[in-house]
Amino acid sequence: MIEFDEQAKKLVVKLVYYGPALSGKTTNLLCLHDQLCNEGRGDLMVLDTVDDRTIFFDLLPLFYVAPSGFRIKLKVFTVPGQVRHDATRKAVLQRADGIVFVADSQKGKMGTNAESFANLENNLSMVGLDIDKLPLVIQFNKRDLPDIISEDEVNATWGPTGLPLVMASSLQGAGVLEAYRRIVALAFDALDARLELTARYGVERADFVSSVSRISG
Amino acid sequence: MSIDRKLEFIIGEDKNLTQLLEVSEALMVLDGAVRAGACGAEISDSNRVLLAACGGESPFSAMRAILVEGEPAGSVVVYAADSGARLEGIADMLHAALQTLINGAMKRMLTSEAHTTIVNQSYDELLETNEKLSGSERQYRELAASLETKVQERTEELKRAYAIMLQKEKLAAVGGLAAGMAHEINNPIGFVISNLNTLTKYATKLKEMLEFYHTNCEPAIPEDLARQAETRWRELKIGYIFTDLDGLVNQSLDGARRVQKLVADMKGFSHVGETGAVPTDINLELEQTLSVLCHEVRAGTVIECNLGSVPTVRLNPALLSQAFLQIIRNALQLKAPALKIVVTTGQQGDDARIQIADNGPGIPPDIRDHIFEPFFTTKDVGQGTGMGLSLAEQAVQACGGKISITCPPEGGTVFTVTVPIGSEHS
Repeated sequence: MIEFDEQAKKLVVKLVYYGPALSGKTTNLLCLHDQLCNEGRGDLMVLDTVDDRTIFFDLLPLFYVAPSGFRIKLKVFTVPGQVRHDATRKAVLQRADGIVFVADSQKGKMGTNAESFANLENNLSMVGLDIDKLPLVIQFNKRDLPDIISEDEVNATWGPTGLPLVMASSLQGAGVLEAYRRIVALAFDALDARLELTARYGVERADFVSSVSRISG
Repeated sequence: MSIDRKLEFIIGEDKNLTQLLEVSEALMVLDGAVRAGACGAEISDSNRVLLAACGGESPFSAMRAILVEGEPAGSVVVYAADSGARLEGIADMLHAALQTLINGAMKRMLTSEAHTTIVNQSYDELLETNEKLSGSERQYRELAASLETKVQERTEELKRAYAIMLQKEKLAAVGGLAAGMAHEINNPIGFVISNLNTLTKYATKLKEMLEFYHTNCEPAIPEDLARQAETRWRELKIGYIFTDLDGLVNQSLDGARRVQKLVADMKGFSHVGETGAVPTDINLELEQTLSVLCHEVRAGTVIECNLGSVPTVRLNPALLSQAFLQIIRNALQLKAPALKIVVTTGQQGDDARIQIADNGPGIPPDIRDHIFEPFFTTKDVGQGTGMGLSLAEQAVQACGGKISITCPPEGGTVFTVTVPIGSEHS
């Protein structure tokens, strides 16, 4: 987590959308921004891009106040997917509380997916995080495209890892909220185990998850 | 590179209004509101602490919340002479301007944060890489520098090992030969000595009998026959034979005994069948060595032995006698007119000390350090192998002892071998 201030009754949590270049990480955040109720969420901050490619990161802040007055701020980041921005990816990964790995479903992209995942493993260990303990959700994006690997294949490959799998089409808004809700819930569980959020600060899991994923309209 | 250092700067840390809003910039915007017709304007943070103010207060005011990342972080208040659309309009515009300023600052901070973190990280990584590289460079430099010395050392070691192996083989061959010869010679020489003894006895008896006839029977026989016997006695030089016989036999016996001793010494010297350390009489080893070398002693060479009392030392006698052989042989080969070699033994402190001194020309100081090196020789090509003294040193060291040379001012060379008496080396 970025910050935990017991006296100010405040917790700042970091979620990171990771994945290969052009897999749709920013699109996920744009979609979340559009779908989520603007009460309790800030504006999506898209930092400098070149030719529509992220070179720093995107940031979507969300916040929640428990009935006890305890505040949890959720900062959702993307990382630049291009290989050359590895240092930025490492910097953004620091103190992450949960990762959504956005994989590209297109046939022929499995190699880059695997490379990016290996890069994630490596970078996590470099910033002192244990991939086996960190909440992680795998999202297979671009399900709307024609030339993609089947869901069975995805399950066959990733099923054995035991990681939650979400099929998505971030351009059309499918599977975006689901992946987000799952990582929020998993991150909450991990933080609750460490900080006893429910017992000590009266933060209810269901209330927190539904509050930070309330949709607009 | 520590994790803590990297964590000094965390991307996404919360920012408050004071960090995001420059007072001078805020004042310019507030001033704009006053010029647009407001009486005054002010900005406070979430704790109602005044951050910037312009103009004065008035009864009519409008307030707008300032948001940072969607959360209220402070407020801006606009004062006007009267309420109405004008006041609200100015408040909206001021709020929009401030919010734009803050969002811009936020973005700038986030990018510079990321940049700083990345630069720090890259710097740390570079430092680490640099350290590793210089480490391996140092290693290679050391390796390159020491390679030559190492090769030299190894070559020396190989030379020594080769010399020792050669010597051991030679020793084994000589030992085998000595053992075989000892066996073959001992038997015949044994019966030669025994028979010579018997022959002496027989000769004595014959002589006695002959003399008996000569003194007692000759007067009793006819004169003519006696004269013939007298003539024959003289012709055959029996009288001379009588005097020479003892000396002859004794000389033969002496010769045979010397052969017997030489064979025994050679066998003893080669220490056939003996391995490892055994209690050794150093004086005996020296005597055997000298005996084996007797054929190399040229006429006119004097060997003087001053053997003192030396306790028995536990060591490998074959090695020690090898060392003696090499040193004495080296001395025997000196081209000195009246060569004299003095062998002295004795005890000095905890060491047995053996000195072999010659009256040769001595060793020039510039080669004194080299004489124990393998293959070093001052002799003509084909005359010396250059191994002798090197072997002597190796052998003494293997016995746990030391060897040194001194050249006294009066001339000659003194080899000193010391072996610790309590030594358990093999």
